Amino acid sequence: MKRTLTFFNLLMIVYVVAPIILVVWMSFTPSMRFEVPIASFSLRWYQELFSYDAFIDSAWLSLRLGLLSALIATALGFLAAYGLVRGRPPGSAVLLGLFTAPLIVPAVVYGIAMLQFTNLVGLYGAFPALLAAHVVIVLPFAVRTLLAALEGQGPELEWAAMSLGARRRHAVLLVTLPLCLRGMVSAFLFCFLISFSEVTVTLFMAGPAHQTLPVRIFNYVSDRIDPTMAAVSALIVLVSVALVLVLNRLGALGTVRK
Amino acid sequence: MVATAPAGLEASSLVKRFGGTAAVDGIDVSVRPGEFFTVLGPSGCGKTTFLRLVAGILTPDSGRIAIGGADVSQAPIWARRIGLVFQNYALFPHMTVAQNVAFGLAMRRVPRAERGPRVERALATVRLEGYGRRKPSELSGGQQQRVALARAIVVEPDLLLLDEPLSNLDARLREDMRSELADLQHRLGITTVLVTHDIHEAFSLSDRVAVMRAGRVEQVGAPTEIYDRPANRFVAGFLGPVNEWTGQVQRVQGGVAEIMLDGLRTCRVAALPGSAAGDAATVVLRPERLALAPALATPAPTMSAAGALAGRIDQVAHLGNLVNYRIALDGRMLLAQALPERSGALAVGTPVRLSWDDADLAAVAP
Repeated sequence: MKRTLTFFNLLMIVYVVAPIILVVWMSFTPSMRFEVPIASFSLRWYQELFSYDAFIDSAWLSLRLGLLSALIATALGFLAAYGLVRGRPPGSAVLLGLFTAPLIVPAVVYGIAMLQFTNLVGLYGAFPALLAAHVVIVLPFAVRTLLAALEGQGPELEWAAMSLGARRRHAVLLVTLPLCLRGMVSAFLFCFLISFSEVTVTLFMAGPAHQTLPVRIFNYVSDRIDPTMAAVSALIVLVSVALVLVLNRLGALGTVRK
Repeated sequence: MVATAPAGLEASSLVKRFGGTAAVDGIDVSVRPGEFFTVLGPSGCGKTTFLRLVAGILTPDSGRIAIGGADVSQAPIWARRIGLVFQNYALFPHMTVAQNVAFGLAMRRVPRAERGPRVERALATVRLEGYGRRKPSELSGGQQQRVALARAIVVEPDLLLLDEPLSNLDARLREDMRSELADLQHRLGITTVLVTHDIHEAFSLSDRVAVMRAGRVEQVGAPTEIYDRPANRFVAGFLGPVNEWTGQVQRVQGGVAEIMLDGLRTCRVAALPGSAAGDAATVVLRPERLALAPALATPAPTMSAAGALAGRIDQVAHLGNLVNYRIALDGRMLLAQALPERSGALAVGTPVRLSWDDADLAAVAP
């Protein structure tokens, strides 16, 4: 039994990791085609990539979108989590369900809905609309992460602070927030990661002016195919792996998958 | 360190409901200025809810709370000038000891130059000079609780509220902290309300104790008063084991009731308010007030031999300084507590004569 399990685990790892390794490997090919280089390696596709302005623009857009949506979602997520944990409002289970609903609604459905909605209010293709959509998509991750951080901290600390003359906002600012800094950083990075790699909803909403990196890749690949894709994929993998390592160090991965 | 005259606490008709149940169900308590007052009760009796109402953590559904004569029923916690100490210390883990103690001074806008010396003095008060730069996590439980005390008293609160402050400490340390707390409270003269389920803690620290059950105060009084004259069976039993007899009031005269104990004899005890001839009565006696002597030894020691009963020792528990006996007589069990004989505790099966002084009996409400 145990042996079989190990076998399937290995199979899964190979299945998941091997393609990624292949892509990274292929990004160093000197040839014009997608192939695994054996004898000679080259950085020409990276050069190609960096000389292609559209990709650089998209990367900047993704970065800005990711940072901003992560910032907003972390702030909103903290407020939501704080309200749920400390306020214990009636129906808090329902509220939590609402906050995490974007995880359940299929991305395609949400994408089409947002497309129609932004069209309706005349914001189609505008950055704020895209940003709002991303905030909605990443918010559940912020709420979950911060919920866990706040639940680990009893209310006594805030009571003690307030009994010493601190108003609630001071107690939160001086005691609660510094103590869930780790959770805040985790939430932020998490949201950034999700936003940075989001394709489906963005595809519907982006319009020609705001093609994020994943969308740019998607469009590029549907057009033609050359190892530039491998290079850009390798870079995204690098960023993602780095972030996941940091998140793992912060112990944040366990909180979202419950 | 104490600001002017200490303030009293006045709570009247206090009610707090959670859902359908009243955690605090009409409490009237009056704590005198400078007094050490304890709210004692089993878990779930509403004592912590009461403390949180006084602190301003919770808002009462009805009733009134006044600190130093000022109505604070609706005042937020930060406006109440209280010091709070919790069972789990609740020190700010990201601050040093000195920063913890200085927190209240900063919040109350004490000039920066005054803060250092006042923090030093508060730490000295709890015998923690020189610990200012440590982090709470580097201190023992007892030291952390002393920091929590220093943090609470440095702002010179009108009222010090202690929520089971010694419950997380081990037995030995708890006794040390108990006497330290008593010293501190006497020196500062600060009005203090302690909430606990620990009878020894309540009795050794308090000027007066309120015993709570199911959201209500059952009795308020000095420790000896409530121990020797419990108002009802619950208070009697909660404060320690008792021997209990039922009977009937024969007559009441001048505050003394003559009660016929079922199957025994009549005795004269202080009458319960409002009791009259013909009422059913319950009378209790503490085990340490029940004298026992080996049946052969005559005459029975100093006690009035009037009530002497004959029994047989059924169980013996030697506590070191005291011995607990369970004595069987006429199909029921009585409890007695006595100093051990020089030759040790009496053996199981020994026939004994039991007696007591009627002055040690107390009539209690059912």
